[in-house]
Order: sequence, then C-alpha cells, then structure tokens
Amino acid sequence: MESRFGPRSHTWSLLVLLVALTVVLSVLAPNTFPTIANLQSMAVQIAPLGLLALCIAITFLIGGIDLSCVNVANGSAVVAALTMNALAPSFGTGGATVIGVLAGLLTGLAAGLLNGTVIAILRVHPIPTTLGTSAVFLGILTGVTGGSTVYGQGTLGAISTTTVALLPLTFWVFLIAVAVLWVVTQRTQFGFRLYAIGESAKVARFGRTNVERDQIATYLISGLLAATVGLLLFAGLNAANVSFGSSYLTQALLIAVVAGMNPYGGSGRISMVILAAIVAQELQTGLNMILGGWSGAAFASDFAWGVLLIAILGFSRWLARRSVRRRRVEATEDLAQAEPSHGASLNR
Amino acid sequence: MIQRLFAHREAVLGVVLVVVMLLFGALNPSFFSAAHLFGVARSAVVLGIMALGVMTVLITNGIDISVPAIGVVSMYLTTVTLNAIEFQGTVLLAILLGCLIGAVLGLVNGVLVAWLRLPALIVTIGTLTLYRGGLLAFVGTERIRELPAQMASFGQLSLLSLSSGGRVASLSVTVLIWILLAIALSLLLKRTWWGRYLYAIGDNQEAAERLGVNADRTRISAFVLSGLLAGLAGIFYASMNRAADPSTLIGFEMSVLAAVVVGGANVTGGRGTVLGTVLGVFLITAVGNSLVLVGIPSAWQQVFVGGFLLIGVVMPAFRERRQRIKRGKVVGD
Repeated sequence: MESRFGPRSHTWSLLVLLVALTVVLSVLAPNTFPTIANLQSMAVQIAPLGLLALCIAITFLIGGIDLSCVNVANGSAVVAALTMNALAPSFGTGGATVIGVLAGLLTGLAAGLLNGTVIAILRVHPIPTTLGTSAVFLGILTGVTGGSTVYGQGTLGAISTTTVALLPLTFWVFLIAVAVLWVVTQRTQFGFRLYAIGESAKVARFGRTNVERDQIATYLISGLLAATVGLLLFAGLNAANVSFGSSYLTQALLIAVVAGMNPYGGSGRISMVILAAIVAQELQTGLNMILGGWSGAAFASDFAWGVLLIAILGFSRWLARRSVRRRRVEATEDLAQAEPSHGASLNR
Repeated sequence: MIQRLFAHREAVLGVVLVVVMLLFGALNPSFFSAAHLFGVARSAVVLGIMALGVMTVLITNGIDISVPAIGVVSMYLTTVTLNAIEFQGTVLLAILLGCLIGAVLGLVNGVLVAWLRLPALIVTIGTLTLYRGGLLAFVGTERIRELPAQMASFGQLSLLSLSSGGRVASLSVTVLIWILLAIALSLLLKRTWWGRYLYAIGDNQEAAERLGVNADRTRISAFVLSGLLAGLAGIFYASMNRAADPSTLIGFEMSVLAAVVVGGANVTGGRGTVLGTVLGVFLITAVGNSLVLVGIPSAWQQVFVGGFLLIGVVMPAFRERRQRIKRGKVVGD
C-alpha cells in the first residue's frame, strides 16, 4: 500500500520488529527486562535520543539535514546553565531558572534561524552549512567554558524524576513533540508544503509556495527541538558540557532512517520516530545485556550502531528497488495483455 | 584583468593567505621564523594528504567524513601488526600496509555508496563510528609508544635544516611527499580520462553515463583513493608523533572538509582543484597553529575551522544569488 507519506508496509514491519524485540528481550531476561523500573529508565533514555531524531527527521522531510543538532543541544544547556548561575543572586533561583530555560530555548531558535537563513536564502547545501555552524557553536562553547563542565542550580532535577501516569515527564515531552509534529506534518497546509518542498523545491516554487519561509521554519523547529534536548539533559544531570552525547548524532540518524524518513526528502512519517526510537533503545538494552561488563562495551556498541545504520539503510533500499521493479513488471504485463502488438517492444 | 583573476578561487585564496600571514607576522614577528613556518608545513601534511582524497570524492558529488577514522585504523593496525612480527625493516612496508588498509576501508565506503545508492554522508558517518568503534573495541585502546624503528625515524627525517639562534628548524621530508602527491593528483585529474570522468559524473551523472562512463566504478575509485590517502596520512601521523594512539584525530573530519571546501570544491560535485585544496590546507593550518602566537587560546580553534567552512560555501552562494537576481530568475534553481 502506498500513500503520499510513504509505503504503509514500513509501519507494519516496524511494529513487528518492536513486538519481536520486546518478546525476545523479555524471554532472555524475564526478571530484569519487563519490569516497570527498567521500562521507565529506558523511557528516560529514549526521550533525548528521540527528540534529536525528530530534528533529523523533520529536516530530512524537506530534503535537508541538521548535523548541528547535538552541538545546539549542548549549547542551549550551557547557555541556560550560565544564565541561571549569573542571575541566581539577583533574581532568586526560581526566577533565574525560568529566564535560563527561556535563554536556552532562544539559543536553539537562534541557531535554527542561522541554519535556515543560510540554507534557504543563500541556497547553500545543508551539509556544509550545518557542519560549519556546528563547528562554530562547538568552538564558541569550548572557548567560553574552557571545555569544563558547567553546573546548574539543581532547580530542574524534578523534571527527570517526576512520573506522570507511570511514564517519566521527559518521555511525555517527547510524546507531545511527536504528536504536535504529527498533526503539523500530516494535517496542516504547512505540513503538505513540507512534503512538496522535499519532493522538489523547484516544483514547489512553481506552485507559488514560499519555499524560503517554510525551510527557515523547519530549521527553527529543529533548533527548538535540539534546545529542548539540551535542557532535558541538563535537568537530569544538573550539569552541561560541550562534549556530552558525542555519539548521539549517529544514533539519531539511525532512528530517523529506521523510522522510514527518506534522506532525499518528500516521504516518511514523523510519527514512526516513536517506534524507531523504542526499537533502537531496545537494541541498546539488548547489546548491554550481551556485552555485560566487558571493558570495550561502549566502543562495541558504537561499532554495532554503525553496522546497523548501514545494514538498515541498505535493506530498505533493496526493498524499495525490488518493489519498483515488481511494479514495472506488472505494468508491462498489463500493457502486454491489453495491446499484444506493443507488448513485445515493452518487454525488452 | 584583476576582476578575471579574482573569479578564480585560487587567486582569492592566495591573496587571503598572504594577508593572513602578514597580519600574524605584524602581531607577532616570530610567525615568520623558520621554526614556526616549518612547523606549520609539518602539521599541514596529515590534513593535506587527507584533503586530497576528500576533494577527489567531493568532485564526484560525494562526501567522505570517515577519513580520520580510516587514518587511525590504518596507523594502529599497521603498528600492531609490525610490532607483533617484530619487524625492523624498511618503512616502505609500513606505508604499503597502511595504504592497503586504507584502500580496503575506502572500498567499503565506495561500494555502499555506489552500488546501494545510499547517501554518502550517512554512509560515511556510519562507517566513521563503525571503524573507530571496531578498532577500540576489538583491537585495543592503548597508546603504543614503541613504533618499529624505521617508522619512528622516518617521521623525523629532514629535508632541509636551518639553525638560527641555537635552535635547529628542520623541514620534514613528509612535506615533500605531500607536495609530490598533490602534483601527481593534479596531473591525474587534468590529463587522464579517469580524472575527467570524475568531474563528468560529479557535474551530471546521467549525461556522463550516456557518454559511456561507468559511473559506479569511477565513484568507487574515488572513495578507494580517499581511503588510501587517509591510510597513508595515518602512517605519517604515527611516525611524526612517534606513537600510535587509537583515540586521536577525533573531529578532524571537520578541518579536512573545511580545507577542501575553502579550496573551492563544491559539495554538489563537479568542482575542485588540487591547488585550491593545498592553499585551503595551508590557510587552515597557518591560522590554527598561530592562534596561540597572537594570544587566542587554542580552545577557539574550532570557531575558525567552522568559520572557514561557512565562508567557503557562503561566498560563492552570495555571488550566485546576485547573478540569479540580475537575471531575474526567481523560480529556477
């Protein structure tokens, strides 16, 4: 089944994968895996990764990419922490926290605006743009903090420990972000335009779409999501550092790709990021179980992420090609039956 | 005349390089000491050799982020292997082994990109984590200080020694090898069919294929060359530092890409020259190595790398935008 968002079969294979992994892990570790505590700690870990994957996914949708998301996340956390520490004596910790959070979110928006403007108005390729801004952010942060960790006021700790209806608050943030983006991409005109731009910016321009405005809006969303990730991580650790989450980029790309987002733009469902993020986290949990206390476990899981990313990309590519070939064969056969005289030349 | 000269990226870069050098020289006269200049040339080598390969990939409308990982894998595996057999012979074997490892890893990248038609960026980000993670998990995490004797002495070979004020400044022999490689690549790109095919498939793959170019094979060859040069750079890096460290060169891909893009290569393919890349490498290294001389902490270095990358892509974009507006083309790309 094909819809304008991409093949439906993908959703089903993800669901099957999710159920299969859950069953396998529950059978392998019946005492530790299917417990509420374990699932809650998994949910806490899924949230930042999933939100970063949303950054990648929403920019994939318009045929772009945001490689700066991890550094933007760290940047927002550092800005928020520094603002809070600077304002705490004069505004009290409560007021300083609010202003700090706002400053963090603004940092993300500013980064998104910079990326979006360069990509949309100047029509620079998104890869060098976001790599470049990423390096600039990293450099500024390293310069400002001297590479050391910035500690906060400890006022946001509640966010990472609170649970609402059995799910951690951070996971709710992720769920809400997915829900909002799902409505925006699939039920609004703006979302329709994003798919159109991803399919072909040129055609979208002929359709009198304001491509530049929509592209900038997309990178703003991505920057805002990245800032949210930074603030969530900061809330959990009460600390911010420029080098946090350096392996997140590969994992976020993996989740976006597994979710079925087309890196060339124009197809994929944002809502699938939820399934893909859970699948990825289950794989990580499974890897941790297998590798146990081995000293090279962290590196081996990096290795596994790389292998998985390429394997899954290759597999979905192969599936897509096969279905295209089958459809072409079927169409040729239909034609051959309808008009036997032309069939021979079409079948070559 | 001047306007036509400045239409060339290389001319602009050359002028910028001279201005930057004069600026640094004015701020701190020790910039123009032989020791510092030779030091810049020496630390440009690894970046420069990797940049040559990445530029070749960029010409074909690809991108290779994994070069630092390839360099590290080749240097560490070669050192471990040669130490295991207690090899004390010629350095050429180390170089050969390093190039071979690099070429194989580059081949993996190329096959994935060309045959599976996967986006080069995502593939090489994947192999970057994969190669590095695999090396650290399965081969070792320890820094090896005992290199095979010839390998360690090779990095210290000097082409030219100047003694001034009691200190001896020497120009590393690796600089000469880099420049020779650059000249060879330049000739290959300009004078052989293979070189012209690279530009052809980068500019318009469909048109090139209709002319009979085997795009897949050409694309793979570019990735193999990139891997091979990265492997060579890895060996040079180990011999110049007299150690093989598996967790080094992290984030180095940024500098390589910045140098190549500043040098005029385009991520959308079909453009790039060896001269531009070499100048880009010199610019990035000269600025990066001299920040401390003028009192800027080296922590800020990344800002300059990213800044150069952005300037490298934004400048031509500005010019194209002006032309687009002048032609009154609002819609077309």
